[in-house]
Amino acid sequence: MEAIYTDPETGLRLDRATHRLIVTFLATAFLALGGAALAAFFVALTRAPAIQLLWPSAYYMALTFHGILALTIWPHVFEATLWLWACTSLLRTRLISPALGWLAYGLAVFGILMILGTVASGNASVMYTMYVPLRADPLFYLGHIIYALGLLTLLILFGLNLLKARADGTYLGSLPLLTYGMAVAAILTVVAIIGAVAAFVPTVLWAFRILISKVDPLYFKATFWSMGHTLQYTNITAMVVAWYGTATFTLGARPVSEKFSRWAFALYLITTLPVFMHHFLVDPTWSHAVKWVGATVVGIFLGIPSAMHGLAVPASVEKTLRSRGVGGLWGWFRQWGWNQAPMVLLAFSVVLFGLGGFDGTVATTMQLNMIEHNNMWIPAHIHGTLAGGATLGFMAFSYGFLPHLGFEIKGRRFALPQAWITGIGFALLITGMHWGAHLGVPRRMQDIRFLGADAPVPDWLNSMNLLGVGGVLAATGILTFVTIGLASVLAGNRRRPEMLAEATDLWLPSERPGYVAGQVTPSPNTV
Amino acid sequence: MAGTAFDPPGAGWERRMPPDKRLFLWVLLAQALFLIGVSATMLASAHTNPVKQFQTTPEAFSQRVAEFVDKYQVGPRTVRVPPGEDAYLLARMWSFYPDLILKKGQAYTIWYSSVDVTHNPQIAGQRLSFQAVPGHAQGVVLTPTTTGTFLLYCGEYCGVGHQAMMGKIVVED
Repeated sequence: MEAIYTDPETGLRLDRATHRLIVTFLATAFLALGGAALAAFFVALTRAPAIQLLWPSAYYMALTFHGILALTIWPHVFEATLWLWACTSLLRTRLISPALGWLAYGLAVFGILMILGTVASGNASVMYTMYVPLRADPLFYLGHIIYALGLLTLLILFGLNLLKARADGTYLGSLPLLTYGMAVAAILTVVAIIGAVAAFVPTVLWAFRILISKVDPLYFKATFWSMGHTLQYTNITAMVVAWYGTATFTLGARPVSEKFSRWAFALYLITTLPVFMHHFLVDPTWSHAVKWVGATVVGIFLGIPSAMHGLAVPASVEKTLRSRGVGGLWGWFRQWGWNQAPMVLLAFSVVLFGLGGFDGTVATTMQLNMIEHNNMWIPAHIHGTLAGGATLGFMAFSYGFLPHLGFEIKGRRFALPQAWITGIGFALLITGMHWGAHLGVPRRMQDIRFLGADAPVPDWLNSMNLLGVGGVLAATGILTFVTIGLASVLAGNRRRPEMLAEATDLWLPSERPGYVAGQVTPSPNTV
Repeated sequence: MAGTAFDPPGAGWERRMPPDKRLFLWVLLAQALFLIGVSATMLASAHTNPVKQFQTTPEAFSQRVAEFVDKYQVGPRTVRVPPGEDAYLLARMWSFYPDLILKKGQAYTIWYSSVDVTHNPQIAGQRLSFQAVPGHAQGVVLTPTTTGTFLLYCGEYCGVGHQAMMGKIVVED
């Protein structure tokens, strides 16, 4: 006998052991997002010259916290919930070993605490990028390795579960689109972890002063980004999964073409492989020809799969709305759901991600990189793709996912304002960053007035004050979301589990012909 | 929820994509090739800063900079670079050394390297960015077109004094 939850909306089932694991990862992800947003407050208020809140060492520590929480921790911990859900509930099976899932969680949290602890001690203000020979506390690097081991354990569990579901025949034909997307994300993450091993193993020895006395900065940068930029494609793949998921939860939308969407996911596997080369366009290495082919040509092709998804997701919303009688050329746009938090967030996510992706193509173009490198263009790119894109996409998904797991959304009336404030905040933030980039404002700079400068200092203040306004709005929106999310989880599961005994009770035999033939499924609750 | 992204696809999903999706793929491919063409044309027409590089060590590069400063020094930390000579710029925590005086309209190669961590000399308002990496020297060719005093600051985070890392380039007629 085992406790099984059934979602009446979708008919999907989840056993209690997996449910518990998913909720734990989800709450941890919300905490990380809250930490990133809190650090963002201080960063934005320091970069706005009207306030310039923090002194240098505090600013660099806050920025390190912000980068690591927002890029290294929050998205991957959130993706862990997607991986767990996609390989169990969507495949009508249970986890092959919840214990392995808890081991993954334990390792990941242990690593995270080591990373955050060393940053808090002040001995690791080396930014998300931590380019050696900047030297941080050795435990900082070790924390990254342990965290990566945690993620790897989870991915092994994910892979084993796919094999188990295939062997048990709990689904027929091909994987559901979302599981397919998360499988692509899993492969990208494994590739990234190979880069992480190459980057962090020598570095941790160097930091502990064992055997290795020097790590070449360009070697570290290449291996770091073969991890780091590939992981951003994990985030983007998961973001696209969240887009399709949001459209399904909110509207019951269907993909306009399974083949088109699957091609787009699969293309990520090819186009992202040499992704680290973008980071070397202005470094003393390689010839122009190698840089141009490896970064610029590949960078231009990178945009294609994202543009495919950027078409397919709004198209699925449009098609669903039209099938429900919404007419006219732009009727679907007016009826998009501007009064529903997940749909507002989905719209902002698609648009901001598109802008950020455009910035990325600019930054990978060799000639343009020489003028945009290390100025505000780069944060504009990151905040478009990963904050505006992935984070807003994950938030949109959460508004459907929490009720799906049986949680009531607490403080529901704050959800819609939260969605608009976050979206508009990021739009302003990115506008300020682009404006600053156009003037040449450097990134990661505590003082753009250059106190003590012996030469004329350009006036960049307005652009960065706009960044401050956008940053504060966006951080407020995200903290509101985190409060809603955590309150909803802490209020407890509203759903009563059923006690079911059969090994195959997560799928219903009567459903199976429906999947194969693509016919309407009978209600899952009628066995 | 049959037919949604939560379910395995219906039979026949692997058949040919609908024509509108195929058209969109062709459009995407065409814009990619167009952008590659633009970038390649720009590269071929030599509008790009030619960049040179060599392997070095922090000690060897410091030595070169010291010799360069000895030869052309005009102030405590100021060097007037004669037209036709290469200039050397040493990046270290947290300054650029020396200050350079250049002549307007002359092409100079400025060699960057670092003795400690990675730095990134940027010229205020000029938006030109190349990395100074320890162990690797990078030569950037530039021709000053405006006279005046230009602030040099660091674009790559390099520790707690990052915001105070500055230098100066003066362009004279």
